[in-house]
Amino acid sequence: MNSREFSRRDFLSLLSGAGFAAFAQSISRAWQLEALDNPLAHYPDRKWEDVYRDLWRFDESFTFTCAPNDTHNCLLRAYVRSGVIVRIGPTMRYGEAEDLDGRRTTHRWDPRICQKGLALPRRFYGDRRITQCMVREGFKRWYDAGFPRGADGRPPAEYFQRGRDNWLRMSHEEAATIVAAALRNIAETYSGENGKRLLTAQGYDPVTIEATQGAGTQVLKFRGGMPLLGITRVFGLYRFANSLALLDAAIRKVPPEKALGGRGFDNYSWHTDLPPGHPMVTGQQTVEFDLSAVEHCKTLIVWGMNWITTKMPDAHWLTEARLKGVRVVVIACEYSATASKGDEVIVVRPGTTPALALGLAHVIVKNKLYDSDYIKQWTDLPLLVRMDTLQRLRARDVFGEPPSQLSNATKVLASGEKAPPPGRQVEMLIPEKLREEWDDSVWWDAENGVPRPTTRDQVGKFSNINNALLEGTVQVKLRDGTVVTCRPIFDLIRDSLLHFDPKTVEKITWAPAEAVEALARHIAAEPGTTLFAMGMGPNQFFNNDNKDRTVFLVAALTGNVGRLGGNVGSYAGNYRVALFNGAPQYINEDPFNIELDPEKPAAVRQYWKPESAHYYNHEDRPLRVGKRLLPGKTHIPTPTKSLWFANANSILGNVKWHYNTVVNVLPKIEMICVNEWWWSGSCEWADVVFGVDSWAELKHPDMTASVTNPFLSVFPRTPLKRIFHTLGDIEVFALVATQLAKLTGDTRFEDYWKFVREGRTDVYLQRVLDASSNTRGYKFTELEEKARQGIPVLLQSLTTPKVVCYEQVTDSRPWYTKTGRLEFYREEPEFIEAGENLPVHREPVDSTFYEPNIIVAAPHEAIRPAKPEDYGVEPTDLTCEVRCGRNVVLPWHVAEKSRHPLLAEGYRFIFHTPKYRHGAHTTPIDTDMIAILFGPFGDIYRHDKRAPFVAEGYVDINPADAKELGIEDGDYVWVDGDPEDRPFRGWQQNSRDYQFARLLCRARYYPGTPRGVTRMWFNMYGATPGSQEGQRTRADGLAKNPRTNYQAMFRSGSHQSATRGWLKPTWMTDSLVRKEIFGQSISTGFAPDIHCPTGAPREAIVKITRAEPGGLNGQGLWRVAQLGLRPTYESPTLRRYLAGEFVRIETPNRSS
Amino acid sequence: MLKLRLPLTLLVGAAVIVGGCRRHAVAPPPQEIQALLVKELPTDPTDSVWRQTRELRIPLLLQDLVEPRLLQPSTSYVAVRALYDGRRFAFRLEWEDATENADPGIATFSDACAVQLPQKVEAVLPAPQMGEKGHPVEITLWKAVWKKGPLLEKGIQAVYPNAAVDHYPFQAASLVPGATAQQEMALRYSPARRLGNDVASVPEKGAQDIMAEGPGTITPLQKNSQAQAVRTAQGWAVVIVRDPPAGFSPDSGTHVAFAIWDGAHQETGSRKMRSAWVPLHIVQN
Amino acid sequence: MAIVYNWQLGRTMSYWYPESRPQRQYAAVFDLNKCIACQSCTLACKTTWTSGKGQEYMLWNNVETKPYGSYPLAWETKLLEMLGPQTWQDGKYLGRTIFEAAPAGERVLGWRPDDYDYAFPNTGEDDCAGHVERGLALDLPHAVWFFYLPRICNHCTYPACLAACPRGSIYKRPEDGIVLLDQGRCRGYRECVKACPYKKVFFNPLTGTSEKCIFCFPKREQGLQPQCFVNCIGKIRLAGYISVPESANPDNPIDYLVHVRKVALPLLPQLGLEPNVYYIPPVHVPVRFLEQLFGPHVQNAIQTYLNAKDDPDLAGLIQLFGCTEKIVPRWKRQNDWILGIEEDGTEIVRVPLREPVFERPLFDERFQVARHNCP
Repeated sequence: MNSREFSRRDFLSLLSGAGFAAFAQSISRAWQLEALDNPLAHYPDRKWEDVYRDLWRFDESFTFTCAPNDTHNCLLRAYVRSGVIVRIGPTMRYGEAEDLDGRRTTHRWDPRICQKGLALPRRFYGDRRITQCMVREGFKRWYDAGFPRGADGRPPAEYFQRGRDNWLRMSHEEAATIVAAALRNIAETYSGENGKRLLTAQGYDPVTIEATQGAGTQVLKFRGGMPLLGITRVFGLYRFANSLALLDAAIRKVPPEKALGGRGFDNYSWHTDLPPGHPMVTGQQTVEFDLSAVEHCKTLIVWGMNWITTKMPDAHWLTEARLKGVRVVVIACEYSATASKGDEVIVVRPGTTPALALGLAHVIVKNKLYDSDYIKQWTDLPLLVRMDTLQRLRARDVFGEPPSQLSNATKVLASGEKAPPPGRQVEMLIPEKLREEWDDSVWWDAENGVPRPTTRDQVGKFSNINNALLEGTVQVKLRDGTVVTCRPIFDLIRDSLLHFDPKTVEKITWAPAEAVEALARHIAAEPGTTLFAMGMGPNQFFNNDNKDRTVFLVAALTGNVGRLGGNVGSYAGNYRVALFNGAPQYINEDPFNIELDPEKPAAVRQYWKPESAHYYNHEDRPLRVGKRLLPGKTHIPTPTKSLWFANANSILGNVKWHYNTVVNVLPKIEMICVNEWWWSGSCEWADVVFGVDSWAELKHPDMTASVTNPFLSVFPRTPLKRIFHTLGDIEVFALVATQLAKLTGDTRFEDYWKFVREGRTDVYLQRVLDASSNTRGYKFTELEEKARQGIPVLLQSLTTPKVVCYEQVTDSRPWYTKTGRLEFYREEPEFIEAGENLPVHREPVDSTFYEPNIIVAAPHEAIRPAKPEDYGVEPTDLTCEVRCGRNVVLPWHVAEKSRHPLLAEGYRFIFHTPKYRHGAHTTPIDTDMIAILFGPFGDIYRHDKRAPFVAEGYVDINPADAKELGIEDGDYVWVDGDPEDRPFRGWQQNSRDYQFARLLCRARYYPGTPRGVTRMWFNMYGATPGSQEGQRTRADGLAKNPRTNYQAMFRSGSHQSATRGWLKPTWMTDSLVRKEIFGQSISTGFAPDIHCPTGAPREAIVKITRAEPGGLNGQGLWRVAQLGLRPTYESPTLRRYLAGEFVRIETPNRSS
Repeated sequence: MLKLRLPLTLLVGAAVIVGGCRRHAVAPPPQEIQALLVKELPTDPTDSVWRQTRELRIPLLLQDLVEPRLLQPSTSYVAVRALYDGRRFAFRLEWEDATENADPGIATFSDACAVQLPQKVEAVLPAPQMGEKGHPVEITLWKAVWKKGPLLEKGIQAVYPNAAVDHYPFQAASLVPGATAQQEMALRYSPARRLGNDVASVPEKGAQDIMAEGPGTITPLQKNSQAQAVRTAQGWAVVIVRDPPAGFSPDSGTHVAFAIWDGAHQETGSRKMRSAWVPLHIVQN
Repeated sequence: MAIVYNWQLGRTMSYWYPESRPQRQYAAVFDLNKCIACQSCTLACKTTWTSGKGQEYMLWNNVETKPYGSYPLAWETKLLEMLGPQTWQDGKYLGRTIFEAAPAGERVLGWRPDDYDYAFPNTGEDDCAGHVERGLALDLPHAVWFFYLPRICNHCTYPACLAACPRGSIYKRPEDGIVLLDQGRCRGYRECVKACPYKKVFFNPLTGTSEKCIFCFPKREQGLQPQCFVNCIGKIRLAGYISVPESANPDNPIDYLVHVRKVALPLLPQLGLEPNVYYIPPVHVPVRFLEQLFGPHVQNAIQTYLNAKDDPDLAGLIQLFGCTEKIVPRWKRQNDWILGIEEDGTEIVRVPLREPVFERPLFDERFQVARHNCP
């Protein structure tokens, strides 16, 4: 029979309801009495098959872009039946992506999608979808009452019962009116001297009050979450912050040049995705390579990165490279998912990456296996450092010459000389003043025993360093006659490396000494052929900059920086907004001089100020240790009185130290606005929630790009009718601006968003394309048309795949550093003070069994940090704040005898919280079909009513550890962090909040994690007062807020119950030299997402105690364990199965 | 074949009698079902009129004629009473079953019973196990699980009360509940229901009519049989009201067979306890 | 009972119905070395076919972590226990199949899961065999290990579900060998649920019928690969048509991998169903365990795979997986390119052994702008 014929015939009959019924009839009367002879051969009537053919059919399809900050930005196809998106699929057209010159990718890029994207319809239509605007009842009353305040300026607490209040539904216009009024009221309240007085009365740190410069707009904070994910849609909040200079000008009556906009929080660094040591070595944000580059290496080291779970659409590049012979080495703190794809696996102690890297460097240096040409041409290792000042020896002090003229891809800007816009910059731009300060460097000619200068231009093939002294000490006579002792940086490092022999490294890191030795030799054997894919594991520890500097050291010693098949990459977040370095055209358009001609570029002027969100997370306090204020002045935050964010749950709902934030920080904030389309934990704690379009409903196009793939991706406008009463994010900003215009009478607020209201958002997008280095030449309308067909285009970056530092090595161009070389020595005072002028290993700040945060090193001539006494604190003071600025140096044989202060009290487990395959951050793990597959406790039918959802949070623990604690597999357990301030400061006196803040979860026996190391996935939604109310009041016991439908996946607490806001001094210097975020200009100090705090959210030492049995409704063993199917509970059958005893293979040569 | 079969069924009947005699020394029990002629038929198993009828305890046999067979005996007999109003029969089946199995579920099985009659009065009785080619039987089925009502309409919480499901495509907000498009969408995601498969619905009158011409040939019938059940102290009492065979005359009577499924023993389909053909005659007070 | 030939066993065996092979058998190869357990296949199937009421728990396609994962719980160990240890000799199966081991009154040796056995569908996720005490270093094969096993209906040549159905509601399509369960005729006896050793037939408690994977036949009829294949971002799957060994065609990608290179092996062949999904075994797992699941040829398959670095045909063909939605009946290698082609020779898709690298001039004269890798 021809089944296609069937489907065609049926196609017509099915279109009418009648046909539908008739069809059913015809089938139900089908042959029945005929008994079958052989169904393998024949089946009488197959017309019934049409029910499945019909289920497959769809009316139409369209494309949209899914971009939950996982770096993939997949263009997906939505299939529509009767106006409903019934399913999602890949476009299968990535293989047709081209660049401006018609060069094409291949279909090996298809398909691009994942289970989370496939589940999206459940979020477009599900019951946590935000269907309009929600305003918290108390907040509305505060507004209606005219924003009453107490003597110190604080609003009465009665209006701020966040998390427990009722919600009012209203239109976007009403909500926008309220928000505009509140913004103005808060800005007015905290402006001028009176504003400062109130902030002082409220107890803010004086330096943070000073930082406002008396402008109330400076306490208004905005965050477009990971703005690269929406150049206009998400970045729009920074544009909005810029427009608030108009408000400041009106309130303080200042001229434009004195006006200040709002403050914008960072993103990449806030997420602890920034590897802070990258700029310390290379002078720019981050080094990485598109993941497809693994096709071109010989060895791939996947280090603290769970590639196959977090880079899923690009996992095949790894498995296919391996198939073709690339040796895959996986370094992890457990037998991870990615370990199962490794040819070699090394399991280490968490937080010891710097020590492991130093161990590799030790082997390479001791056995002289390093690539000496590379280090002489590309690194600062041959350069001399003065032992008196610990500064790099300046050529001028020796030879008296002025700094050389720089011409290698570099331009020195005379003071006052204006740089071209970022996207039009060709060479590196260095301010004259900095150039003077850096001067040229000196190396020691070993052959002739004389010092020689080398300039910043002289890198790569231009390098003049050949017979440089690498090891030893020299006396150098300065021009003024003084003789100073100098040592090459190589020698200082070699000296410090002596401490990290493989045996010692095994003790520190748990990596077998032989494995360390063998890996080092393997990497060194073929210089320039190893790719280091560094993940978030090591980066989310306090010693993350140590990690970067030591790993780069290993890479540089083996010629593995800046090559297609030999490079370092750091993978987390999609951050490089500079891929659109013309973005200021949109973000920073001058609100006092708005360009209303769609054909013309905008006039740019930045009035808003960036700030690290880590200070907000740190209770709006900078780090003070004793008498020392540690953050540099370029880093100082202002008090946070209003917070408005979009496209993110990480700044509140899933914020690190979440429960401290909601209990101790939120009460000081007077308005929290969230743009969302799914009711997240952030919405639970907000005052105003603007319901916005889902990706499938965008009516304003947008664009994004990625740091892991070469595509420039567009969010096309979609034909789908809005499912609910939502607006685009960008329309919400425009709406609030309109209300501000009404309030202030200043129409510029409105003009600022003119093209949005006209449905011409593409005007802003085209301005950005035209102004950006790697997109100039593309027409947005053409990109959108291609996107509608499911085809992206390629970024016009220097190479495809992108390989950062490629131009340095290939064209012999300087790095963005003082010396133009990869710098392993940091001469700045902050680094010397911290004892980190050399690449060192610090123990984790909390996740260690030993004394936290100590520098592990033998006595060293160049390591002379400021001691606790120097700050006026007790050397023994290990409280969390003091610990951050504590510089104590101990050799390992002493350190290994030290103990974490809480160890004796039963806090003996490292508790780390990595990301996993079932969520991109917290998206979309509370979706039923995703959740049931997230870990071992999924049950869509919820046989056990205790389960907060159809799946729930759990902690992975080594079975032997669990047994010691009397914990069975699947039991509920309490997990407690440092009682000093976790889950929140003051929990001892606040049982009301402690009830939902303390972490209660399942325990899973996990034989792949070492003893003493526990893990909880990062992604799940935490408990709130509302979710607990749901568990108490709902018949089905779901942890679902009856007021909001918020669905928690914990009975109480979350993976953020044990985390904290940690601040490290070396993240907060004023003197680090680094490239600006956009373009080629070089400057110093604070830069958002480049040089600022990253926190250490993967650190916590915890105590674990049994709470309840895991069996059904609290009776006995969890079923799977009871059935003998779990590790250590194996039934005899499972034991035979594990041993492979169910078959015998007999062959002449082998009998098993 | 035919010759062989008739005596066979009689033999089986005979076995019953003998067995019966051994158990009760008193008045010999009836060897047949006596359907009492009444004005109207009750559907309630507790109706007093049943007391006027005579009960016949019919031993049940393992269904071990065709695979899959039942190998472990469960229900040993069914006690049957019958009424006739000149138009239809009412059978009252009562049997012992310690466990009530009426809950729907992935792995639960329902208690059930069935009454089987020849489709038409003919000289030759169809094979007792589901009839045979050319000699169809009609079967009226009752299942305990039906008392839960229409499950598809009630949704999964009728089976698993704590289940949490985010979304069904046919419940999307952009569809008008009850509109054709919405109903079609719903039907599309339930193939068995859409195909009109009678197992996907609950019969209005509590009974399902089917016919068969041998194992594996069950075909739904559109008839008007009724059933009503009560849970007794020991088990179930079920009344099934249905038509007699075509061409039935009160004087000549007919044959009836019964089947009982015990859900607790995962009995379903051909895994059941069944009776042989039992003669039925109409009697009057 | 009839006597049929099962090439995977290298012998004849008894089966409820006489041997009758379809004109073409739709089949698949899964490379377990590429599977990342992302569950995209699971969701692709679920959102397409089982989003209805009573289907919430059903995963026609699931991915489980071996050795501790199983959905439904203990699906394979329970049966292996019932069957007991069995022997292969020189590639021939000397043991009993589930048809041969069927007890009296049954057509197949089987068991029926409890409803709670379908809970915890991803239990054992990433749980390894062996125990990590402290730090360690591993080489191949790993002393501590797990691997991912994606499973769909095997559309067997000798389906146990079909044999067990007293109603005759399950049949094999002559044109492609896809095994279907007639939703109009099924009466929900669940004999198929009991008989299928892979437990890939599921009972819908709301409709009262059993339901199973349809190998996306409506897509196959349009020349397209199934949902769980097209959405597989690990690019581990290839669908096509398999021949019997004696008529294997090396230009047919499935034949090439299964019959010619013998790198892809059936799942639990000893049960006797001649399943038609073939797995490339994971190279990091101890062979002895794998032989239990994939039969006596595991060692050779692993060696062949480890040699793929010097084997552009094999490596290239495996890289062709997932590059097109179309069914690829033929393939060939042209130097550094692998081509997927139609029966009639027309090209469907071509992919390179290595993805090309593009380098652009630092300064783009055409658009007067610098192109940076670090903009």
